[in-house]
Amino acid sequence: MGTLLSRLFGEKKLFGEKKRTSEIAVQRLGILIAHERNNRTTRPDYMPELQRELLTVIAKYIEIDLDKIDIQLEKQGDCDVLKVDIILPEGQDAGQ
Amino acid sequence: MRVIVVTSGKGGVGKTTTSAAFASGLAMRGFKTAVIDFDVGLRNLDLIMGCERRVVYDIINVINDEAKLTQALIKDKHCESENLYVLPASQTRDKNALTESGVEFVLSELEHMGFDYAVCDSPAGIEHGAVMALTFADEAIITTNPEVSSVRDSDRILGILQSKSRRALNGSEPVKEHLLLTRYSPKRVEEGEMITYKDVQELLRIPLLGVIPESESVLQASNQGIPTIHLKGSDVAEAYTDMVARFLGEKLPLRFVTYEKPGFIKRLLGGK
Repeated sequence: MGTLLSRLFGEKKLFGEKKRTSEIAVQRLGILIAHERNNRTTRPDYMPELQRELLTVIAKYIEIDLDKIDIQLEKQGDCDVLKVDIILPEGQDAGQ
Repeated sequence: MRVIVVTSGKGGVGKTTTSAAFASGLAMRGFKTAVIDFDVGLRNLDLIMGCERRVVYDIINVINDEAKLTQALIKDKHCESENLYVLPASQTRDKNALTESGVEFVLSELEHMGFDYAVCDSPAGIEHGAVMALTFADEAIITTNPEVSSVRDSDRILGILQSKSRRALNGSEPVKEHLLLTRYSPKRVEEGEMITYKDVQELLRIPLLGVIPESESVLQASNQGIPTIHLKGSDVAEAYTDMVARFLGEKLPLRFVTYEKPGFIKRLLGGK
């Protein structure tokens, strides 16, 4: 990413050090865009419905917060993985 | 006829400036071109094109059959080629008056009139007007500033192009996407304050059509109602001229992307 001048002079400025904030921006955008694209391309139409039905089933057995469920379809190598994250309320013992 | 949408998601990045310069550039290269303002309620293309006092009818009048398209089209006075026309947006009507069938009608009329290009100047956002502007696009110019919110919004608008455009919906060849970086400051990039054009391109992963430098002349141009491409000798005019040439298939190296530190760099590289 370094340009000719910064390679010649190093990252340091003559008058004090200046943070190269553009690198932080690129890093943040990289993570954000990857995440948003993943949601866009791998979230099929049935996902909201699936989320709702899963929630109804789970709610029959455990008291859960409607917002505390997150389902995602992820690619891991050659496999598609359906990841379901459900946060149980405090005091609920998962073993029971 | 090819339909090209100039879009961005984010506001204030230079969509209208780009639409005006790009459409003018196409006309200067001999193509019969119409530039259409899709920002119903907040039209500004007429001001940037310097024809605001000649607006009589607008696109909504044409859609509602209150005026003929030929009555609503305003002939541009800056291009000597006399083949550039502006179709203004309505200033007062309800946004929903811009219907999909209405836009389709206007575009097919333009095609019958022998236009080579229709340039659609999209409003900001991802609402109705922006979707209407991109619905019939064959190609899209994603106008982006080297800044986090603009890059993110550009990625969102790419998602909308890939899901809501007519080409996406009927499964034909996808809309051809081009990245145009505007308000680029090589000096700030050099100092690590601004994202490089290469980084933006790697993030968005679409081909780069051009880099337009940040310049005082953009304001000078809009003050006078002259599309920036006509400001002879300015970096912005040359960058837009290059961008039009690349759009038409010419291979040109990028200009105005490196900061030349006065004196030293000249010695190092033996001048430009």
